[in-house]
Amino acid sequence: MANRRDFIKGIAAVGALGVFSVGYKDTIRRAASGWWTGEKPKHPIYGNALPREAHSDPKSGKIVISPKIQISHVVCQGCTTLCGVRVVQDKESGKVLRVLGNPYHPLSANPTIPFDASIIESYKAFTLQKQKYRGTMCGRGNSTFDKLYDPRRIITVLKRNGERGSGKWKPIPFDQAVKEIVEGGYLFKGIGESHKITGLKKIRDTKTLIDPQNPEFGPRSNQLVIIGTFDDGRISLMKRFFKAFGTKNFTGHRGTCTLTMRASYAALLNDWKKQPHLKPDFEHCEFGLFIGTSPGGNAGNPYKRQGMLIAQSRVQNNFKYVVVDPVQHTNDNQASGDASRWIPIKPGTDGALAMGMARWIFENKRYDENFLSRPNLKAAEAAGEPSFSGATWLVIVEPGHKKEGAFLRAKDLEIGNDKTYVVIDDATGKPVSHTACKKAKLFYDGTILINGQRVRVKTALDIYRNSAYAFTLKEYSNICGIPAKTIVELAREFTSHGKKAVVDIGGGTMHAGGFYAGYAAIALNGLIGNLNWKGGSNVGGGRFKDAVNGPRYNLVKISGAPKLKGIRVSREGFPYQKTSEFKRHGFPAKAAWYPFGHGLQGEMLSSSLAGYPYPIKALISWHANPIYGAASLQPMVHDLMKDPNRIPLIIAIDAFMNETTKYADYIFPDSVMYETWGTAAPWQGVPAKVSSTRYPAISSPLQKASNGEQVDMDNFIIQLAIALNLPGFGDKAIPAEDGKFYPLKCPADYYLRAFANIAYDGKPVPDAKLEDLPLTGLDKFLNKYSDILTSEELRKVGYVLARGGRFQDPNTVYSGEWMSARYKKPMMFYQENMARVKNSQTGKPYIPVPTWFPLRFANSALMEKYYPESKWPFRIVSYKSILPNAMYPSLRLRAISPSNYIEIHPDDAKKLGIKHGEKVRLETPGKSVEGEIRYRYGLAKGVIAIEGGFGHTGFGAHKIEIGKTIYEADKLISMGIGYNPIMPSDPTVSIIPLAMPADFVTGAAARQAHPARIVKL
Amino acid sequence: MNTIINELIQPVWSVTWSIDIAQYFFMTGTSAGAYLIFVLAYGFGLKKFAPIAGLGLIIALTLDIAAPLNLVSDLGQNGRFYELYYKVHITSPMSWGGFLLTSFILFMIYMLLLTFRKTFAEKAAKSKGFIHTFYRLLAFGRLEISPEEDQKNRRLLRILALIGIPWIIAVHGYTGFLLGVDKARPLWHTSLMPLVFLASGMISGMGFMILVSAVTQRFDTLAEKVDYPLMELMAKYMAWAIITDITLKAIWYIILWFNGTAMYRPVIQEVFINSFVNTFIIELLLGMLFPFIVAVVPKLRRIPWLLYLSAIFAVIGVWIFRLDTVIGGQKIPKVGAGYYDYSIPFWGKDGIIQVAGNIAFWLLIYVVAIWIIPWQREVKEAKNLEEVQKIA
Repeated sequence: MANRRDFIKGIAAVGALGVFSVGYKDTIRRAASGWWTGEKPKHPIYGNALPREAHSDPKSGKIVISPKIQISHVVCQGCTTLCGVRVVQDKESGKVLRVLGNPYHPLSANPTIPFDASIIESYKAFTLQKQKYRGTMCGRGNSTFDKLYDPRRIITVLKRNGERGSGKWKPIPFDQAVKEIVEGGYLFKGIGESHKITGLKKIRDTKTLIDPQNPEFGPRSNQLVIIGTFDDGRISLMKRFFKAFGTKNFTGHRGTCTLTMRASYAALLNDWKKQPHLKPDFEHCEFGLFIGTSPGGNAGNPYKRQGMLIAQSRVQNNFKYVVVDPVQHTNDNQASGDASRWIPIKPGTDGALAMGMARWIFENKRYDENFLSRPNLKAAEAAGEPSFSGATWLVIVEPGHKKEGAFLRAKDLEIGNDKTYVVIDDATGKPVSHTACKKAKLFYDGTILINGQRVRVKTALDIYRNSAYAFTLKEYSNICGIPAKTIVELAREFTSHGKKAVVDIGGGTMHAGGFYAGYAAIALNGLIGNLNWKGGSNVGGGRFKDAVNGPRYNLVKISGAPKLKGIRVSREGFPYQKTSEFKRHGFPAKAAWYPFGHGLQGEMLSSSLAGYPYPIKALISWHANPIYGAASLQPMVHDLMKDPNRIPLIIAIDAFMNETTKYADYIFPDSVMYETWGTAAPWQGVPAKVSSTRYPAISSPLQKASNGEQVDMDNFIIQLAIALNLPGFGDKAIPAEDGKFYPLKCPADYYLRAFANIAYDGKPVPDAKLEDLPLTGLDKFLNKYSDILTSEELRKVGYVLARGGRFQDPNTVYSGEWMSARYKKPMMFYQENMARVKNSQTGKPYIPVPTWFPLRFANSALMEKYYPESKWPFRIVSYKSILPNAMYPSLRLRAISPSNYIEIHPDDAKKLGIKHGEKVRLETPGKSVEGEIRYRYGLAKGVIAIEGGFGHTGFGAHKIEIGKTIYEADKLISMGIGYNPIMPSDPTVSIIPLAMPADFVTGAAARQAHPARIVKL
Repeated sequence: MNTIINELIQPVWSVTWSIDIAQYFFMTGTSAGAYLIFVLAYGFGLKKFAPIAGLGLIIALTLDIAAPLNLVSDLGQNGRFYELYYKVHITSPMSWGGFLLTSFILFMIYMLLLTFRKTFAEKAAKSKGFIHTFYRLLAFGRLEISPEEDQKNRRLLRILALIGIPWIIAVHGYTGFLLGVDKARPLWHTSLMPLVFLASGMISGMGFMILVSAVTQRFDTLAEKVDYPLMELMAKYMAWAIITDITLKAIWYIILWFNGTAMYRPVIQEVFINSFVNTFIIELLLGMLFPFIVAVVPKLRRIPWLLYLSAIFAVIGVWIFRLDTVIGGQKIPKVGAGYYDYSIPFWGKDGIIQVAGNIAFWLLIYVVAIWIIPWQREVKEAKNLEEVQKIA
């Protein structure tokens, strides 16, 4: 028996040993490698911590500076916020060690260290002594400077050495490349391409029309298209170039960014050209309602500052905020406690929520009558309001009247001129000129005698109210999925803080009904009249005079520049009804025209490829990436980009081979991060006046041009302009305050003069102290360019550059309860221009007031009709990543967050029988992609969310050959799902690359709220 | 108030204490339960437990030896586990744990040698060569132990077994303490945690003893029979532990639910809604109520398969409770929004295979232990159960 027992024990022991060995294989292997597994750091406790730039003596508080380390105050380009940063570099190697927030800069510190504090004093902001001034960095900013050292970075001029998009390149000398693109010819004969390319010199014909049949297209110089990106502080130089060249076809990136938001504010603030926008005064605001944006969470420029401010305000000032978004963002968290609230909403229905709130506010008279009834600024100020509105202005609503939809002008009644409007005086009940009235009636619906004819008129507010009354609260609630009770709660809360409540919106409104959703939401600000109030909303403090007509130099005047004529190839900013095509064919146009569009980067490229309305000859793409950034564009344009007959010459200026750049014929390198020149300013959100300055503060690997300067966008554009003999470049290009003309032959010629303008704006800044300059390396830097500025200018510019810019004293931004710098145009609830312009597809005017506008295609067909919920049960949205960024797939950040996921609510997933981590197929109409499911409780049900910035096909996700050097495709760069490429195209548009889904009004890339479904594999 | 916000980031605190930590807590808790059998027999003289008292000590010891392997495998630098011994942190329960556990293992080894010293001496006397030397070593060099000396040993063991009670409470209680002190984790932050851990340790300990001693008796005695009345007795003790555990948990959750601050709201949701199946079905219904009913209803208790099944469920219930506590505590983010989700991997670090390996390791050393330790001494290789009980 003993044998049997031993046998059983033996079997058990052997089996157990086997399982143990398998289970502990890794543990044993790692333990066997001793005290260290993996790479051994420099120090056992501090690891690979970087050397410090200085330390503070704990007893005396004296700052002891490390002689090996240098700091410089420049600007971060990790995202569009452009925070002022303090770069710490190793003097010997010139390598950037790390980045801190610039304590002088309001985008990095709050409160900021006083502008007159010395540089040595600023070190204390990083010690316990003056920690309240500490400048901080975000995770992204402290990582993306790895782009400086990326092996795939473009540092020499490249010429295509294979077919477009093949990834084959050869380096060529800078001067030769400039000559080739200027002169044109058989540029790719060497690789067997026989077509002749028109050079830029020939394209610059500012006299001959592109097409005499369509004179509105303008001259042939419009056939150069320049696609830029956000204003990183250098766009002014690019603008100088295209103005000198004579092309109207320049665009930034607004159309793929947050155009719906900007256009909504343009409407509310009555300025469609500059498109200013509002931000809450976070430090004094009591209630914030954020619809489709999430300050300090994942979105909402300036990211870092808004994050700091809402965290401070909710702790110190009892600031409460509500985020309405399909995705719960990081500002609604455990630490925010009851100060924050997230309300999930069905994507694309924000407008219904806002109109529901407006309805309740009207019904319960919770609007600010004192504000709304003041028809002009003077009357408003007299009544204690820092701003006024056009709420009481009368609109002609008589059907069939030739001015139907227009504001009634005082001239029509012969009580004033064509620029004054008519209101019904509250005291007399009679129509008077808006400038002559102290208080007007808010609501009026009646007739007025014009030229002996009775014409029906209404106040703007009356029309807005009717629009709000189009649906009941219950109906609005059913549309957006937010209970009517909650809508009332929000409206009551919003109207319970006087002027200290603000609604703001953002990229969540970038959907096919985005403009109206945005307008409906932000119009609520108008109902309480919070504009220009401390704690209300404001347009920001603006910037000091920089690359403009400044106190020292006039950097915008170009003697001999041609007048820009014609329409943009993107069909934006021009009504179809004024074109020759309309005269010939009437409605509808071949593709949608966007008279209210702006910066339609995707349309600019796709229209160029489509040759509609006219063909183009050359494209300069500067750090732009519409192929990745515009919804659904990528799959439509791949073949077209490769075809040299579509766009004969593509020139890219870029530091990396992004999805758009990779199709170029020539690539000119560009400076990045702290190598660049520039004069930036906060996009918004800072009530003080700020100018951020940026100069090449670190050594750069870039190729040098014959003028000894690095080859970057600035130097290339200047050399190109000189080669093209454009006005405003070369000798005697820049007029100065002393009456002389100064040269523009290198970037320093331009930017140092812009810095001088900043230093001298208003009361000039003091002279730099001698000890400040060596600490920031500026002594050597300014010495290099000492012949460009006068010695007096140099000292003042030194003062500004040492601090990373010029900053208004934050204590001066308020005058009592008002903002010192006020926005003085009226808030508008009615858009006359929209009522008078007809949509190119429907032939009908646009709706001129805030309204609930369900998602539509370009021909006005309802999206729901095409893609019913029964077949497409989900709505897909994207959101900004808190770390990676679409502009550059930083390897440091990829190490933390290598991929994105298909995120859905666990309840939805369970209904489909899908597990967390399961591989599934995500389908949108006509597109599909595989990915991994991630459960996320912080999502509205029925929503699929995709984090942006992943699934690249450029940047090195493809094989690149430069001469004999080969860069194999890097899978880490292509991981995850690229959001925009899987967006469905617009099925109502027949011209292929133009079928991008777009906001009905503005043409903004509609990247949110599309139909989608998940299929199990 | 002038709060300075220096950094605003949204880190995701991934679940760093994973399945092996839950397994560690489970093992030490179960060990404490097994030790209870030894104490009842040797410390309090409850003769009924005598046939498996030595086995109880063996199980307690082997579980405690296998348990810390989970801590080693949890480390990022596995080869550095011994640092716990020379880098002392007086204020850290984690640091205390290393010393408590190690010293208690040594203490149990000493008690084990004392318990079986007479048999070791006899075995040494009967054998030759390596086996002779081996058992003689275990018997502290002796070949014979007189009955008087054996009695003396037993008196000493009685004192030691009682000394061991606060010790093992500390050994297992510290694991609950470790979680309880963590004020950033609302699910863990309760002073009841050490007590709840002890009570549930008693449940799993009794359940485990029922299962392991039954199997061992069935296959490793001459009689090849299970001392079933003893199993029933252990089931009754388990029922007491269940009552204690339910009471403690009721106090804990009721206070949280009705009087907890906002910080505890996510706990209620995590425990009662997100983990509904685990909390109610596996832990409460199958893991506690079912074994309780089986244990207290004599008719049911006498059905062997039902009793064993209830013991299995009791053990699983406690294991799931450990897992849900360790992981669940980390699924509630410190500052983030919503709950984190965590899937346990199968292979590799923190994988299920690692826990399987740990259980296998325990089984290995347990089999080796009952191989070399004549645990049946107390049943004297008896031919039948009556004899077994008489001898005991």
